[in-house]
Amino acid sequence: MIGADAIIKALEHEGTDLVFGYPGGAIMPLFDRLLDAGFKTILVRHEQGASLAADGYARATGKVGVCMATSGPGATNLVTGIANAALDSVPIVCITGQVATPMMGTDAFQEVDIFGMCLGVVKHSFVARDAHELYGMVRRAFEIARSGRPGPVLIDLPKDISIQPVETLEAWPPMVKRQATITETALSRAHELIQEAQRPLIYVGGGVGIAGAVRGFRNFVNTTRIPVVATLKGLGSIETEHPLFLGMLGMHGMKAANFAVQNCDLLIAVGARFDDRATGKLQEFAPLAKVIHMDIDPAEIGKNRAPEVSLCGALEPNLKALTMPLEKVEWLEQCLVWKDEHRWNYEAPGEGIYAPRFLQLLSRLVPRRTIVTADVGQHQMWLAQHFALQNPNDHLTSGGLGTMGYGVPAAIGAQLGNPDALVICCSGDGSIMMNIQELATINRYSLPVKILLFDNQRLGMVRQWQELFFHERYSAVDLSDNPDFVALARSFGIDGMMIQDRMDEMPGIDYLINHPGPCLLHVRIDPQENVWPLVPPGKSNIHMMEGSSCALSR
Amino acid sequence: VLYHAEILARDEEGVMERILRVFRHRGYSTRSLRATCDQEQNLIHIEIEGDSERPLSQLSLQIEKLCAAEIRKPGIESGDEEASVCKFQPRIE
Repeated sequence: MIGADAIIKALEHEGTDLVFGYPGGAIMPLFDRLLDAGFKTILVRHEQGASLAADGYARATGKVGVCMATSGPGATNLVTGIANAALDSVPIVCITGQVATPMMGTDAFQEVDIFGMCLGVVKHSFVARDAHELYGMVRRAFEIARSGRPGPVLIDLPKDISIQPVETLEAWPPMVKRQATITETALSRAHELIQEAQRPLIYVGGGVGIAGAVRGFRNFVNTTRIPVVATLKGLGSIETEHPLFLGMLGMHGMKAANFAVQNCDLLIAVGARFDDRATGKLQEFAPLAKVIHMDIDPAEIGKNRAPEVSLCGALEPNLKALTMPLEKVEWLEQCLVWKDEHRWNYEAPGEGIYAPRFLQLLSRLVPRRTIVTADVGQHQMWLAQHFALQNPNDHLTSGGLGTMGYGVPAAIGAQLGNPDALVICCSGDGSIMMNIQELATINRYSLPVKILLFDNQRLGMVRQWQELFFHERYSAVDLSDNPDFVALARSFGIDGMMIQDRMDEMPGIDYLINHPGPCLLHVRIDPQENVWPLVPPGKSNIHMMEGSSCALSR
Repeated sequence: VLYHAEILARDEEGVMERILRVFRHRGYSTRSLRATCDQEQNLIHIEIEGDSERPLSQLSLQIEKLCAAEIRKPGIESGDEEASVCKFQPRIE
C-alpha cells in the first residue's frame, strides 16, 4: 500500500460516491489508484469545473464534495471554486498534487505554493509530509469541512508522499467540538423580545438550509405567524408561495420585503450574516428594530450589526425553544397589504420574451423535484425573484463570491448527486462562456441537464449599472459577436433550440422540461431589459429604483 | 486603537501565516511581532502589537475560527483606550 491508497481508503470510509478531477504529472499516482476505487471519477474539462461541480454536488446532496487536480496550473484553476465554497459555506475537500518534497521551494516545473495561496479561502488546509498521516488527514479534512459552519479544506499532496509505502491506516483522534453556550437568560430574553414586539420580522439566510433546519424553521414560522424575508441564499427556506413570505430583501429585493425590514421593531436573523447585498446602507438597515441573531458561527454575531440577543449554536433547538403562538394581526395585515400592492407584474409590452414571466411560468410547470442552478448576472436575480422554490437546497447560486461560470458545473454536480431530479441551469450569454467546456462533461456522462440560456448579447448586469451609474458609458459589455449557441451545444452532442417570440414561450418550456437527455434552450431577450427594483450601492434599502422598462413591480 | 495580542497556538504548518493573514485582512495593522516555539509541547507563543479602528473582539472571534477546533480563547481583556489585550490558548485536551 502506498500513500495514494491511503487516500482512497479514507475517501471510501467517508462514503464518497464520486470525485471530480483532472489529472496531471504530480497527481498521477492518485489518479492511478482511482481506477480501483469504490467510487466514480468524473473527468471534467477544466479544474475550475471540478471545484464548482464538487460545490454543486455538496449543496444538492448535503454530502461533502471532493475534487482533485495536479500541481501548478491544475491547483490554481481550482481556486475560484474553493473561494466560492468558502464564501457560501459549502463543504468540499480538495486534493492537489504537488512536486516532490525535495523539489518544493525550488520553483520546479508546475510548482506553486497552493497552500500559501489558499490560506484566505479555505476553512483549513494541510500539506502532507508523511504518507502515514494521509488516512487521518483526509478523514480530518472531511470532519472540518462539514462541522460547524461548513467550508472547503485543501490537502496539498507532494508526489513522493503519494507513492511512499504505508503499513497502517490510522485515524486521528476525534476533533474536539466547541460547545455552544446559550444561556437560559439569552433564550428567555429572546422570548420576551418576541412577545413584546409589535412588528416582528424573520430574516432568513442560507444557514437554515445548510443546517438542515428547514422543518424546524417552518414550524417556527407557521406557529408564530411572523412574516419572513429571505436573502438570496435563504430562498426556499420557506416556500415562495407561502402566505407569510414577503420575498427576497436587499438590492434586488421585493418592495414588500424591504418595507417590512425598514418598519419592523424586531428582526429575528436566522442563519443570516447581514451581508451588504441584503442590508444596503448598514447604518440605515432595519433602523427601528432590535435584533435577535441566531447563527452557528460566533464571528458573525455582531460583525455587522450588534444584536440585543445572540443565540450562537445549532439553529434547530433554538428555533424550537422560541416557537410559540403569537397574535400580531395588525402588523401581519400591513405586510400583506405591501405584498399585494407590490406584487410582480408580468404583463410586459411587445412580442418578445420577458425573462421574469418565462421563469415564473417555468417554475409553475416543473416537477416538484427540480433543482435550479444559476450563473451570475441579471438572469440570476430574475431567477431568485420569479422562480418559485420549495426548498433551499434546490436553488444553487453563487451568493457570496458571485462566480460567473458557476451554473453549468454546479448543475453537473447536482445531477450526479440527484439522478432522478430535473436539473435546470439558468445562465446568461456572458456566464455560459466561462465554463462552456463542461458541456463536454455533460455529454460524456449523458447527464440530462437542461440549460436555459438568456441571451441579451451583453454583460447585462454590468450594462445596467453603466446605464444607471456611469452615464450610459458602455465599456466592454458588448457580446454581439456571441457564437451560435445552438450550434455550439450540438457540437458537444447536446441538442439545442432557439426562441425569441412570446408565442414560443410554452413550446420552449415544454422542450426544456420534457426533452429526453441534455438540451440547451437559447432564449433571445431584449438587451435593454433591466432588473428591478434596484437599491443603488451605498443607499438604504428604502431607496428602491424602478425604471421605465417593462420589468416593474406594480 | 493600539492593541497587544497574545496568541498561544499549536505549532502546525502555516499557523503563523494564518494568524498574520487574519490580522491584515480584517483590518488590524501589525507594528511588532514576537514568536517563540515550545517544541516539547508543540506550541507557539505569538505576541503582536499594532493598531486598528475596529474592535478587538471581532478579531478574536476570527482568530478563534482558525483551523476550527485547534485554538480557543479563554478570555479577552479590552476596553482600555490605549491598549487592548487579547489572549488565545490552544485547545489542550
